[in-house]
Amino acid sequence: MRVVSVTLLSLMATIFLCSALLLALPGNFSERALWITIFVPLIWASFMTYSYWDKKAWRTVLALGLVSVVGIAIIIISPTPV
Amino acid sequence: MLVKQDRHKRLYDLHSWSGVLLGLFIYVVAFTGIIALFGDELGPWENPAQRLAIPDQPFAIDQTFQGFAKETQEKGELQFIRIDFPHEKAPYYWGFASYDDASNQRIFVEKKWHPATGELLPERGNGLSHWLLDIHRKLMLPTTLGRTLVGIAGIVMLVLIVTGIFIHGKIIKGFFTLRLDRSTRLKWQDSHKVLGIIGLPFSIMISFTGAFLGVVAILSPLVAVIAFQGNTEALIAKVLGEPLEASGESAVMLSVDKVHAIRHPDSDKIPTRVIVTNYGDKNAHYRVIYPATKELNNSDQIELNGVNGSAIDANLTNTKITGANRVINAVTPLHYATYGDIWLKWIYALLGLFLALLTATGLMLFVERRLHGSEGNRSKQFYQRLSKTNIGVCLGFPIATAVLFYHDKLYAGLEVDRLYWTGITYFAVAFATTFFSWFQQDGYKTVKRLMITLGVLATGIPILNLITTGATLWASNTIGEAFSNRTDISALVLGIIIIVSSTQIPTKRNNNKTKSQVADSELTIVAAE
Repeated sequence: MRVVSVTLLSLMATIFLCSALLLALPGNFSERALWITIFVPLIWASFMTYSYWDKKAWRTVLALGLVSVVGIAIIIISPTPV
Repeated sequence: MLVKQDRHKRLYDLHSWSGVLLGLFIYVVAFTGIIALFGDELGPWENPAQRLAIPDQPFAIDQTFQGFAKETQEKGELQFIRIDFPHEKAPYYWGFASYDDASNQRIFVEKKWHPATGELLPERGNGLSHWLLDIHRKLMLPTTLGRTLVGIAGIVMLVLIVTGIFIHGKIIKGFFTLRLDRSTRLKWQDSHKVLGIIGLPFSIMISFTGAFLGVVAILSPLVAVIAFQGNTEALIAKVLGEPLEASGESAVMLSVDKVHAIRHPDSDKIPTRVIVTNYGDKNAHYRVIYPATKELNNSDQIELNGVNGSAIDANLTNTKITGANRVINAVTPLHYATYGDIWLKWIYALLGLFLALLTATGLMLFVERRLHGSEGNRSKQFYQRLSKTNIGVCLGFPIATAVLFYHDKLYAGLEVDRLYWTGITYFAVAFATTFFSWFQQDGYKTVKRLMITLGVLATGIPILNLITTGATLWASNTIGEAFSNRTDISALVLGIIIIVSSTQIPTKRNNNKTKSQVADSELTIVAAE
């Protein structure tokens, strides 16, 4: 389970979280996009480390899965930028 | 201990397994990165025609550049064209363009002209410097795939650093503990910790900037798919602004010689490059690039109308500096050490070598603990093979790099095939060295032999340059010759250091166990349990 978290779920959670933040955060779009891009490596590395940080393996799967689901939900309800 | 024992064990597992699975890949990225730092120096070494001086009165290049643009336009739809003016890092005129041919394939063309006479410099196929730079940037793979893989190496490196800090914990004590006269395991362990601690800030910076530069390549299309229904152009337009469309009405372009004379309003420097969009159109646009005036900035730039030369914005400076811009502008200079002179590059190279050695010692520690300790459940042969592969790869890629210098000067084939044969030579030597290592019984002797080979090859690079191009270390009349000499001096110094270091390698493994070593191994068993 931890291997799935570290290889797959951490990447998915990073992509969906960052896309959701890009759509949902206030402020200038261009500026937001640049800041989020800067933070992507840190977020991804943090999620990978978290995969082995938590005592329970199922909790890492659940947490990263939840981040992805919340991200997807925000992407769906947010209007496409024009 | 910085973290609880069970968490320590999990983080140790993540650290060791991600290290052993991707360690050699990270080593290759780190090592090739050291060479990529010296891209500016490698160009004139590689091509004697580039060992030029910047003249006081440069040749008026506009007519030649117009001819180059026309010639490219006749081949297909011009996408992009630029000219570099002679400057310190490239003391010649350099035209670069791309066009889409009849089959809609993007073709890149370039020409270089003498800075004083405007004569076309001899054509030379891409080889040594192109290979050594691109193998680090994108592993010579298609850009998106290659840069993503290199970016992933940066991410994994960040994870290794974070987990390494947590599992080693005692940073101050580790910094002062280097027991080279004790057991082999302690030697690897202490070397790994000390190298990690000395290079920690550098490793964090280089991994983060490398991850950023790589991950951007895959992130843009992914975010475009998710947030913009796959429309990458819409995302780019949203971030960078709408591109200026061509009007379809042709116009005479502003002379690039006139642009060359426009000094930057703040720094008073002359430009190094002009990037032209919509060439030959009424809506032509010149982006004029100047050397950076602020530290950790890639460049300064102004934007001009390509026909009448009027400034696109009132202040003649279109650089909107925001916090994010500032950070992003700093990434490339930070990663490639372009914000300082050759000494900074040498410091980077040394710290980069520490990073490469960190991965190599980590791998040796992994093998040592399994081959001669209580960890691991694979066969002895498996760990021996892993150890030999580690030796082969860690010395194979440096030897392959040194051999490329000889290949560059001795290559006698067609110029269009130069890059192909450069790649074949590079991987053939790297794999042959690994293959050689597999069939050697004694790892210590193998390392010694390969290091002597590497040292001799590196020391011979200035001699090779002297024989084939007549370059001497003591004559540097032009900026191009000075850059070439830097490469020769670096190779000579490195070669001597490697040869001297090889004499310090023990001829056999130290199997003597002292009381404290026994205690150490007992402690490891307890920790593993």
